[in-house]
Amino acid sequence: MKSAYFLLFRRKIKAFKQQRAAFYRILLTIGFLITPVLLLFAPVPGFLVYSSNIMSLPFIVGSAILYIVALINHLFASLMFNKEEHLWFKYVFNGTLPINEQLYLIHCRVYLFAPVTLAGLIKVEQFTPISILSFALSVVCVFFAAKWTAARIIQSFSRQLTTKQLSLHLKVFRLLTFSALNTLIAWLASALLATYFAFSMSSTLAVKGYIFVLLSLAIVFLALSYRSMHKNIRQHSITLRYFDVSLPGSLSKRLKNALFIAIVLTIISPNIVYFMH
Amino acid sequence: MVSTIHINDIHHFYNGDLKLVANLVIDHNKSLLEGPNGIGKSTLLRLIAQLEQPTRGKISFSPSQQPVVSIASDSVDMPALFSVAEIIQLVKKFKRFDDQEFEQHASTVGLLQFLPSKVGDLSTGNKKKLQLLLALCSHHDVLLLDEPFNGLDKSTIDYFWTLLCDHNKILIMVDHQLSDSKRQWFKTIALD
Repeated sequence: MKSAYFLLFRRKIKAFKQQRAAFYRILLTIGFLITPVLLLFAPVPGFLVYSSNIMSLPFIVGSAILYIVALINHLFASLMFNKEEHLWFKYVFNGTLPINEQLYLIHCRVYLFAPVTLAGLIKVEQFTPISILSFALSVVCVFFAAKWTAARIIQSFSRQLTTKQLSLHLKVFRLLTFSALNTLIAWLASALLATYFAFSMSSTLAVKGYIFVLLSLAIVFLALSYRSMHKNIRQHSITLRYFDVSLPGSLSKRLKNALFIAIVLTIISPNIVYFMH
Repeated sequence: MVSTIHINDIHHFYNGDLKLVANLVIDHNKSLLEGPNGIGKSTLLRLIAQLEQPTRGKISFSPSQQPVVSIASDSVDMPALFSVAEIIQLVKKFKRFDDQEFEQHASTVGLLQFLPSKVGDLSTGNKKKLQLLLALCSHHDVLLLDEPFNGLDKSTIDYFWTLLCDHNKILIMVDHQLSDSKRQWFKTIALD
């Protein structure tokens, strides 16, 4: 039987594609670009959790990565269907969701987490009942910890912002960052290229070159973002004044300070990392 | 059949904040919930409909322990991306729904032409008509209506009012704009 939630999900994705075609294309390209990296590194967290002693550093790192993956998965699943829709489905299904609807909702919460976790087992050479049990327990704990955190994040977010306020904030954000978003894709492609070079060359000169490329790109990106955001603030100053008379001025000032701090941090941080090594 | 609803010392927290405190008995055929905005009237309707569980306290029905409750409320919202026809199909699949009665009322209030439209594309009034008709035409022991006349034109309000007057099961309504003549039909329950 076709799930009503699944149908709704498909419609939401279709509507998203139609309403934000450019953004969807960017997301698709990002997904396409990072898929090989994800496939390459997907088994790492699961393998670290399985093969390391509990509370050792690799175990904590593996658990932390799985926790982030589960958190993203939970947040995405929670945001996909709103509370009113859930209540309506519950009402129509007479209080209890049919099994196919429940399975679909469970799938929404694990579709990213489960494959990443299980991919780690591909690399394992020896399975013992105790290690499998401790792995399963650890993974379940991480999953529920992420579920709890996601619920708290959504709760505190919804307490501070109503849906209308949230959409207003998102609209203002989009208004200010619209052009900057276009440079994001170029930035990401360059960063991936630079990462590729860094992995393929290991001499000191190559590392220095890589840092330099990355640094230049970061500064170019920040400057471009600043320019387009500044332009947007000026262009939409009348709309912004509607919210607060001093908003355009204070935004420009904050933007300038943020850019200055970001550029300084961008210049300093790779050098610190380099000299620490 | 339900004749009485006991709301026993209900405390309901929402997002960590106390949203509703209620301790009352609803034994009249038609009851009107009153109180200032944000006191928890819509929340109480959702609790009676058993769509949410109270943090503390209990809601019980007598003599029937498992009544069928119909609700029409903006806080129990239909998915905007489903068409009206799909919504009806879904309701028909899982509830005892009177198809003929729905068609008759829908044609009178001018809703039939919107069957292929998406719920999100409906006007406020048409969405309200759909909510009300779905609740009225589903088999129920208790009917809960939250601001049922918001966005409706006068003739439609009169039509639904006649239907509600003839309604012989328990009806609990929240409405801030009900005229004094219409109020007389209800027993007023104040939430404070």
